[in-house]
Amino acid sequence: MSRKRFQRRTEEERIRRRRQPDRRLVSVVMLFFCSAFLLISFKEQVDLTGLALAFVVPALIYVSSLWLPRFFPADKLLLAIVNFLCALGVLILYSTDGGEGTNRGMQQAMYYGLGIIAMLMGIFLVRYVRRWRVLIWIVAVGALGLIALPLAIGTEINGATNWINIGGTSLQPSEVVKLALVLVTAYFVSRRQWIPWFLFGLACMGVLMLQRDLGTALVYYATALMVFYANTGSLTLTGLGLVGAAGAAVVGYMEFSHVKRRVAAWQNPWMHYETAGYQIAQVLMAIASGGLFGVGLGLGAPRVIPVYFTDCIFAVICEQFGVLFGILTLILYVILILRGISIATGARRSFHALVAMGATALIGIQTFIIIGGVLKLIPLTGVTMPFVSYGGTSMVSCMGLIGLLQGVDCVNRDELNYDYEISSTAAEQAEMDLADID
Amino acid sequence: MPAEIYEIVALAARFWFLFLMVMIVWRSYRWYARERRLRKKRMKYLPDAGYIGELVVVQSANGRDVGKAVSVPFEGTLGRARSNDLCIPAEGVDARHLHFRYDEKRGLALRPLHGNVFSVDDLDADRAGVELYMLHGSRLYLGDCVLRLRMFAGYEVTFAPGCMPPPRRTPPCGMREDEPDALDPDSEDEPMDEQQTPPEARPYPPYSPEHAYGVPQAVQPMYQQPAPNYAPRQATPMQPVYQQPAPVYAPPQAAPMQPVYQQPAPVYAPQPAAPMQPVYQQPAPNYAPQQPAPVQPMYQQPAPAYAPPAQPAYRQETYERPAELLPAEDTGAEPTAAQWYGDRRWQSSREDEAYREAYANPEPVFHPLVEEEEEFFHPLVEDDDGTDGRWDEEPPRQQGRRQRYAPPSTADEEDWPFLSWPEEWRAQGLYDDLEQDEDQTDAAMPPRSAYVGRDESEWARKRFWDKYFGGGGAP
Repeated sequence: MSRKRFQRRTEEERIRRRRQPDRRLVSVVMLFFCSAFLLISFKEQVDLTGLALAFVVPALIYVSSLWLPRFFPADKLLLAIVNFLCALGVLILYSTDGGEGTNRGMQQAMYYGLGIIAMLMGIFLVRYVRRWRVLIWIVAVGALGLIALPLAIGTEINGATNWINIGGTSLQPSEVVKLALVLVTAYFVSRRQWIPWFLFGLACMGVLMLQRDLGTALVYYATALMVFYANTGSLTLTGLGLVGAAGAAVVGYMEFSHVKRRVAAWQNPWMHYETAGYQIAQVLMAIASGGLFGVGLGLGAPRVIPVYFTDCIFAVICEQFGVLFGILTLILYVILILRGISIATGARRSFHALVAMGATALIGIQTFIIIGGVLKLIPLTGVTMPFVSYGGTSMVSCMGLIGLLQGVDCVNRDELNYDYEISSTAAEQAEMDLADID
Repeated sequence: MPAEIYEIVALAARFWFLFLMVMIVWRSYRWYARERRLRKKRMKYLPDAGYIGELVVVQSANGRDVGKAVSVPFEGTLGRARSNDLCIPAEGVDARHLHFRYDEKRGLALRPLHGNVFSVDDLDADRAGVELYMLHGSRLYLGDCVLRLRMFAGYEVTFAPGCMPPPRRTPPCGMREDEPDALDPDSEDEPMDEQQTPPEARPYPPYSPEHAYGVPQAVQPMYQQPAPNYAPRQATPMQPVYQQPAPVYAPPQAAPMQPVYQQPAPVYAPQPAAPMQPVYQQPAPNYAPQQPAPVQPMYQQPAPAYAPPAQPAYRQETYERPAELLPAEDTGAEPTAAQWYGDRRWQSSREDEAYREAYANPEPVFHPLVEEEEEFFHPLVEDDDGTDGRWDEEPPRQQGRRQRYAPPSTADEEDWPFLSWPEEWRAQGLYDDLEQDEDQTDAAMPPRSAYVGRDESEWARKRFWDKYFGGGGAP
């Protein structure tokens, strides 16, 4: 090959690579999980399930990150980050399944597939449904009925009556209702119909308080308040809402005994090490034992942490991969939230903007509450870490929220492409194409 | 794998995983920052993206903001507070006065907030729950100011692809037109021959007259030269053949089938008694020995049978004027708002007629550069620096284009052959139109609204309104 030819090829390759950041990122993600599952599969004996996951999970990431966006103009960066977090949850759960005889890793992989379907449904819902006037009332009434169902047929787990059993499968309705909360709140706030919005929020909060699911109630309240502020920009009313939340927290502390125990365990877990402080003490010890670089994948003692697979999975990540890895995971969440905010600011209709803002706020608030609880910044409450924690309902709801976000992004891109086509000449389009290369 | 060996491998692999995680985060961040930057770049080219039109202040109590235009998004609130989507700081306007949203079928829907009132044309929104719709040209009476809606959503834009044949893609500077697109990595070109010498780059700029593209037609107006009988020159970009006026549409007086180009001698003979054509009176050796017949076959054709294209209807009068907008009889009653202000969509005023006559130039001269503008007002672009959408100079979009396409100098005689023409012609002032200091860079592209002067812009906007929206002129 001549030198000119080589230089020309090199230049073309450079341009091509700069044009394909999605493949560069997804290839690294696939390499990460392929090597991780291969390592886990050779831990004790050759595990065929682990070997299969070493190729199935990267294939799933490739399909959902690069192949599905061929059919709709989705945000590939959002997809890549979400797929990484979901696959990280599968990896952690599979690595901790060994001695306990559970099968949470494979179940989480199946929930991951279900979550992708839920994400597609969310995309098509936002992109193609244009008339919400009747549908939103159906969604609101259905959501209220669903969230009130555990009061009748629910079971109590960890002090909260928010689970129902249908055909041997446990379901947490408050997770599914998060999707309805975002849609209903965004619709009523964008139309400035304050009475339905207030009644819906009040009903949801009342039912959650009756179920003693205070963590989810906090997520709901903060999300509704964030959407309200995003639409109105009223600092006064938002401040009043925060004051009301503080008052409700004081009332909850005075009324609910398990709240008092959690606050006491948060203040000094070592005093209540045998009882309420055991979980947070184990979490802190796990993070400390991991150090900066962790103890290694599949090593350590994560199973001594109570509910390590849902609430405290971030401690397991820090123990096995190290604190640096945990910080990088937090940065990924931050990029995801920033991306969601940019999608919300790019929306042209307030309903779409508030849907994107609500979904982003819900994911961000939930992440902050659970990671803040694990790191002992705030009292530990029973919410899941989005995309990572074990649980089918949580996975489906979080991926559904990402689907709503992707749907808004689809609408944004469609409208921007339309403007791009009708309002620019060919010379300007050529300039824009050149700008894409820079 | 034994537990000891696995532990060693896992301890080593944690650094590998950390490295991959750093790569993932870094590439995610790079991707995020790159797309933000690209979006900003792209939005510079699409200043109207996300907006459906403008609300122009046409009347206010103190007359301060008259002429100010605010871009209207799809949805939002209008009021005096700065947190609104549309901030109208006028007397009588509440902090949050009304809520608006764009309906693709019915127009811009307005709904009052907090018991405020407003009017759209002759309709009042004086109670909660009522919703009024504004169309293009509607007037919004809000407090002590009157705003008029200039809506462009739903209308195709002139020069948009599909409305007319798209202009040719202009290659970047220094790139030959027939050169394979090096910027397209997907193009599979033939491998380059080592023995083949690389093609020389064409002289800058690529719009030099001998090139196929970029012929500066628009900035060298031939219609200002009254030369019906001049000798056509070959290979001279100053005389495009389609700018020959007479033989196509005007029937020749002497011989209809023998156009003036077939008449041999008197055309090229020196004409001492032709004061209006001093250019061709010179004994320039470049023009004299030309043979007219073989080089102009198209003019030997008989005159085409088709009639010259009819002038487009300047104003459409097909609709009837509503009875309530007719001039009221002198009954002494107070006129209605429509009669007082006049609905410009239906009824024109005397000022419009005078304005139209003043600017009814059948051949407008488009100046591609705005120089005498004291303050260039581009209301469709957001203001980041608190200047209310006004720049002290032209927007950066135009600056960038001028830098890219502007010729650095006109001293290159190869690109600008008229510089070598006789100096006495220059002394006679024949080069004034050619040597004026103006930007000739956008000649290959049709001029757009941002590039014409104030008067031409007003004229073109007025004509566009009258043609497509039923008259009334710009507010």
